[in-house]
Amino acid sequence: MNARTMAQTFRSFDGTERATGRAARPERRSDLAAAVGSDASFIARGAGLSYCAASMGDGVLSVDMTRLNRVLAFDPVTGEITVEPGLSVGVLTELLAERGRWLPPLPGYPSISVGGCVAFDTHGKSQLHSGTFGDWVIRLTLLHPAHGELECSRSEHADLFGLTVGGMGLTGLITSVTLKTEPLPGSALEIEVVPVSSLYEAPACMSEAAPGVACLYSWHDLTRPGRELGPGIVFLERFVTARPASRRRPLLDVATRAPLGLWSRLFTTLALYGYRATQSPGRRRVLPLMQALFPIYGLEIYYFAFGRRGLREYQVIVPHERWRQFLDDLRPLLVSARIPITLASLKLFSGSAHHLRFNGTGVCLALDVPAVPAARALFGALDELAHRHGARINLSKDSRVEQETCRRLFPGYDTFTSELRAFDPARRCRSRLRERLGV
Amino acid sequence: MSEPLTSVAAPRTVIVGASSGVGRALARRLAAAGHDLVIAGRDRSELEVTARDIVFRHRRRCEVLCVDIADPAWDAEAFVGACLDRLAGRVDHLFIPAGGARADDRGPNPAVVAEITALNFVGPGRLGAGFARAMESAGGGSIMFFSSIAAAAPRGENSVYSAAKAALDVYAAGLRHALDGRGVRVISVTLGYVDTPQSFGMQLALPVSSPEAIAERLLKLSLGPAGSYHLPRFWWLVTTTLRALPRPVYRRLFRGRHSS
Repeated sequence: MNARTMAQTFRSFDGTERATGRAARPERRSDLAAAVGSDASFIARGAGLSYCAASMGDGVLSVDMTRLNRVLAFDPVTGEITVEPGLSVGVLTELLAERGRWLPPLPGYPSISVGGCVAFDTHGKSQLHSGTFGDWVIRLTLLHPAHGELECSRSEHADLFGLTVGGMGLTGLITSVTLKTEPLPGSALEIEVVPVSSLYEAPACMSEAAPGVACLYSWHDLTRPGRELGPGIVFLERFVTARPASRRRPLLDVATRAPLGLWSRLFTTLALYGYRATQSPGRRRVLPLMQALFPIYGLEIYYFAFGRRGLREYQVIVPHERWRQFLDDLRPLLVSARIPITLASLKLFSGSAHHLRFNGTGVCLALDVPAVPAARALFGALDELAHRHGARINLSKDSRVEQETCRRLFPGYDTFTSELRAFDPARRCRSRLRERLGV
Repeated sequence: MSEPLTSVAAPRTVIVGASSGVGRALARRLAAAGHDLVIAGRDRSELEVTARDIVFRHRRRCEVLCVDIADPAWDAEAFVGACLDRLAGRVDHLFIPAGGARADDRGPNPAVVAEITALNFVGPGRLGAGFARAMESAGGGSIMFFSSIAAAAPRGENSVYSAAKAALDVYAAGLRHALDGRGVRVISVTLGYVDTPQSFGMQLALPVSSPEAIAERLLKLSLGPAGSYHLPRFWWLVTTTLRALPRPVYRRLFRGRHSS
């Protein structure tokens, strides 16, 4: 067993949280028990791409799971696949595609680990049709020093299963995940571009198109919220059989940041104007599977340009019936904040909320801004807005919400906290995120 | 899981020391290149997981043999026979990344000399000799031994490990000479820093290679001529410089520093 650990300062993907702890990187399954066998607090770490400090904590041992990245079993008849948690969703997608299968709820970047997807119950661009990652987990194996290795599913240790899916890694180390998959409908995705005049109009356009598409999302320009609230584009993606050439390759690591932030208001206005100009109405293009399913792949420069001060993202699901009122209230906040909104995007969600997971039914809005001081004030105001409209925020994208706000925004906060503390009373699993949320 | 593809033309390869690090990456890379494999090592359950993964990903045959080459009672001839059985009577390539340093190899410590030597020299040496005979009678093959930059920089820490690797280098050179012109290519590779459990957490002054990048280079080397190589190549300059340094300078330079 390699018990070697090293001191390491970690940084959240959004660059706004740091923690100094130790790191271990087991290579064998038998190393795992030893890695968490001491009295130290620990937390699993996958690709390290959570926007918040989920896989790190001061004085905490971060157990890097990326070397445990093997496929343990595959049933070609049912399509069920069992993998180690360090396998990336990109590699998983390639392996499944070779066998004519896929897993719809894919997050935006291919190096994100399967374990990380379980820990945050991530979603993809097809949430409306296929739910979140947790809906595709059949069972998982969990290792906790006080409980040993436990197999969990909806029928076995069901409470623990429910606590682990979207449980932010706080129930122990996931050692294997069994997923259902479905037949891959095509070898590429055709993307249709439909212009919309504002954020008000987009959800109706998306709902209308939803039955015939595999992936559905929109992009909006919020550089002039006082004049027009998010003119933009709805992207409709349908599977086709084609062999398009791969067009994009990453030029740099997605976590690399420029020395200085480049996303000023002027730069954002010019960049978004340029982007809109390339998206002709009615335009259709066919993209390779990997590029279409992981839209940020090859566009890492977007994150690079935020520089070392980092970025902040606000992602929220607003109930359909509150959407227009929510936008009416959002508009003056954006106008007065005077912060460049570098990304505004919508998805449609259909599901039920549980514990602290990012799920529910409504319109999902994501906003990216540079991590300037005014961003924190804006997002604080958005928390109030979310509370007023019964909306739910994505904790995996947030590095600021603290205990009281979290409790107000999540009706399941107290249940989650009490169940988690009952399972792990010694709080062996710890992270900066846990400390901040007070769970 | 997927059924492995079988092909008479597929290269047949044995990797001893495939449980983790370079050995595991090498197994994946070779399977991707179409090799049928026997992967061997001490940790059977870990090897079986790796074998299942390889069969799924690459649809190649991948058999597991549990072996402890440091065990004095280990029967090298029987192991060669078992590999030949599993690979239909022929082995084209042998890789021996097995080995490793130990934390208690520090200063004069008689307790570790036999064990470290067995793992890093005697075991690989017996393997190489055993497979060399089988390859010679089959008409050819390649044998790859793994050395270390520690062989060029012996010091108080890892002194037995350094000596064992230096011995393995010399033995590989002798075997290469013995098998010259008989179709069996003996290759000795000195690895620099690789991002494996052995180097994890160490403060290293020179670049660290990924196991995958090293595996890619090893595959190419296994197809080339016999010889002694450094990976990455700049380590040749490092080891040559280390050997040429006057002892007082060397002592001052590496006082209190770890070896790889």
